[in-house]
Amino acid sequence: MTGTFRRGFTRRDAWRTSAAYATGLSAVATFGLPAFAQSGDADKIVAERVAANPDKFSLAQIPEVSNKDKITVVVESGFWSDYLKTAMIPKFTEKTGVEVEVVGMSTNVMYAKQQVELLGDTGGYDVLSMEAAYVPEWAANGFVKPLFELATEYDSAGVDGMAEYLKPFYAGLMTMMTYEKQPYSIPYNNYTQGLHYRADLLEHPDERRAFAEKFGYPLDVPMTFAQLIDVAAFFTRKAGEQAGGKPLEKDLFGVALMAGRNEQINDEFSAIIWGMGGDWFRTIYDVKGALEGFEVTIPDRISVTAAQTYMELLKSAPPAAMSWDFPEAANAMAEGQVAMVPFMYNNLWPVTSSVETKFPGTHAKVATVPGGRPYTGAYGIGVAHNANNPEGAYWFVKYLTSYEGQMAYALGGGNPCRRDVVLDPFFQTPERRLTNGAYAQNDADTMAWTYDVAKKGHFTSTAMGKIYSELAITCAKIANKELEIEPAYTELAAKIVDIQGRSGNGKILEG
Amino acid sequence: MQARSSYPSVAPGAAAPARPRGRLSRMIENDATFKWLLLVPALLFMLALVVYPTVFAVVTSFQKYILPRPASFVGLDNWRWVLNDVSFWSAFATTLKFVVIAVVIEIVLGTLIALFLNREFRGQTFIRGLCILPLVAAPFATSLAWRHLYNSDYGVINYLFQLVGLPRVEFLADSSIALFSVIAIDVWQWTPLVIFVVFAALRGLPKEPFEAAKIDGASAWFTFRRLTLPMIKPVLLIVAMLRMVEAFRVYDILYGTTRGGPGTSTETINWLIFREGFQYFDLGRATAMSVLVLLIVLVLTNLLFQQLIKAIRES
Repeated sequence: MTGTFRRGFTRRDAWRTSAAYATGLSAVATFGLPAFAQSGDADKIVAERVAANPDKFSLAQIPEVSNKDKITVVVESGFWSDYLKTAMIPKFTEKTGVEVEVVGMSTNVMYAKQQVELLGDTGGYDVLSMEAAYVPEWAANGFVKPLFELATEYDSAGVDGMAEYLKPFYAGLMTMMTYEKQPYSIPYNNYTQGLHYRADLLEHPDERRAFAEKFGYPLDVPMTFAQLIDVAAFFTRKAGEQAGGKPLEKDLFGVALMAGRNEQINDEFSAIIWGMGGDWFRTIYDVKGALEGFEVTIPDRISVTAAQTYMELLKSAPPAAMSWDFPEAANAMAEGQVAMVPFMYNNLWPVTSSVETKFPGTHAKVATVPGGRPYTGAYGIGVAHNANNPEGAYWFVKYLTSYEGQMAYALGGGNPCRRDVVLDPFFQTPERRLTNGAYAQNDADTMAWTYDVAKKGHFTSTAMGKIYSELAITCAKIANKELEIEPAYTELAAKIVDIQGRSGNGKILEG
Repeated sequence: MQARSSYPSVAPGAAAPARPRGRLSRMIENDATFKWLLLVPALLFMLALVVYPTVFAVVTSFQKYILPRPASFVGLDNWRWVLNDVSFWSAFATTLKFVVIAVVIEIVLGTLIALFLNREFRGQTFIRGLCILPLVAAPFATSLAWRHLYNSDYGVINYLFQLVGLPRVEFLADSSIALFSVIAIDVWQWTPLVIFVVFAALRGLPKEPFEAAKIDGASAWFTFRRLTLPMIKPVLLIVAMLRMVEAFRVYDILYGTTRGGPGTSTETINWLIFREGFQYFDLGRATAMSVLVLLIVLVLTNLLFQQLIKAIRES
């Protein structure tokens, strides 16, 4: 095959891709995910849905805002910030007279950039975007205003009205946004994980027969980690071999993993540890429900087995996975390179499912991750303690997370945090499957976390923003075989104790 | 038409009245004070942006200072922690490896290319112009581009490898070569600096010794070794010093490529300091690390500086 890359990539593709990246498009490809785009008719659909749900809070219910000062808001860059600028913000400004400046940021720099402004007390941002792991930290440091306090001050509906407003949001996600019984932020972007897989492979009769012959049990969507290892190994094949009844033009791998030196490797390890019934460190409460401290549980047998499981899975992942983050892992499925992405964030479903449009005959599906305890979390927005216009900021937060805001977010492919939007019949149709097809599974998995979020140090420690990085470093060291599993965990345990002791909200209790 | 002056006229031959001279005028007229006066803006600048931050960093290194909490004196705790921290020494070793390999390659390659460019040939202006391109690109943008050039699935480098029958290489995912892949980016970006500095030095060399050597029948290698190299040695040492200091600060190309991975195989000191200072906001530990690195760099710079003085005296 002249001019064809051995793995199905043409010469023109290679030059074109590299040239495009070299001329600066790399930033877009790295931080913006091309599968996300706001529907052309989003405005019309949103207006129809809002009209059909008159009981929901909407723009019309925002009262006269006395403070007209401009507000500056931080939002994740990409389709969402674009849509806000062109659609939602003009309406908000028209209604309230408050101008809004949008500062788009990729999620991987949000923490550091906002933290610097907050520590410097610059008042640079009125509305903050925050990931679940640093809500407790910012709340404890007084960087974010409690929502009930804002509601009391600016909303005639008061605390009860705000409590009622928050009801449609997933309870587990709201627990993450709450510190010492006060909600500080409203979630809008749910990134609970799912097992994204190629149903055309896993459900193919020939594959099922071959798998049963080889492993002695039927091929199905893996529910345990042992099954996941087998299925991953089974679908790891060389170019030229058959898969799903067709010859492979390029190598196929069982799984895509995010084993690069990024925080997402921790999310994969966490899903395995939690799925096996273990923990990194867990929250201990006294009989009255007050936080007593944290218990570090690593290195224990479960966490060691979890790491061994991950190492086994790496054998069925593309070698490049050692440098991958979530965009690369999601794209691996979109490009037909892998059979499964076992720990993929469901808000990336529009990317993974795009395999269907790129390779006709393929079929993407989503299931719960093996072990049933996917990594979960959300990005939320709240009002900065030093906001120039807290009144305008409060109403903007409420508007952005309203039924209308979350509907618009969902139409662009976002993964909303309001159940009334997620379960809206509009999104359950076959036409919406490639954009919103992970909602039903995501709903079940997010709901399953409702009562257990508060038991995890991940969502309760005020030092989690810092501990999270250390968890990822340890996972990366293990994956890279720099350290044996137990010594790596022992080193990590000492770091958790150190960081929690220096920056955290509760003491470390002896296990 | 005669121009009329509004100034009071002085009668010819009359002495101009003596004006009382201000303190500033006297200072300006006095050479000893004037030279210091000229230095004041630069000194103030240095004081505000170099001396004060350095003193602040040294003081902070003896404090427990985790933002937003107030600082408290902890003596040598941070220093003890840094000296006992395995990650610090591992990152230091990686940094040293990066600096030595990158700077040596850049100096050697840069000098060779400069020697080549010092000849007369067609298209020399164009080639010299091309050489400056990597220098003008932002390191972070460059690293993102390289990340994709290195990609094992669609990157051009692997494509070319496969065309000539070489196996695919995981430039950034294989921990045994990831550091070298990052070094290659640094070399690509900064060798032009060496080229231009050495090229300028070569252009400034006197012609007579070379003509004499040619008449004496000296070989090209002999001429280079015994004439060119000693004469450009001070310039090479200066550029090595500049590159060494710069290479110790490597950060942006890691951010766009490996982010310290796989594992911690490309984690450098600056990456560690950034994490401690701007992710954990533990200024005490971060400054202890920074001050320690500063001391090490000072020692290394001093060694090069001594060589530079020696080379200048010899030349």
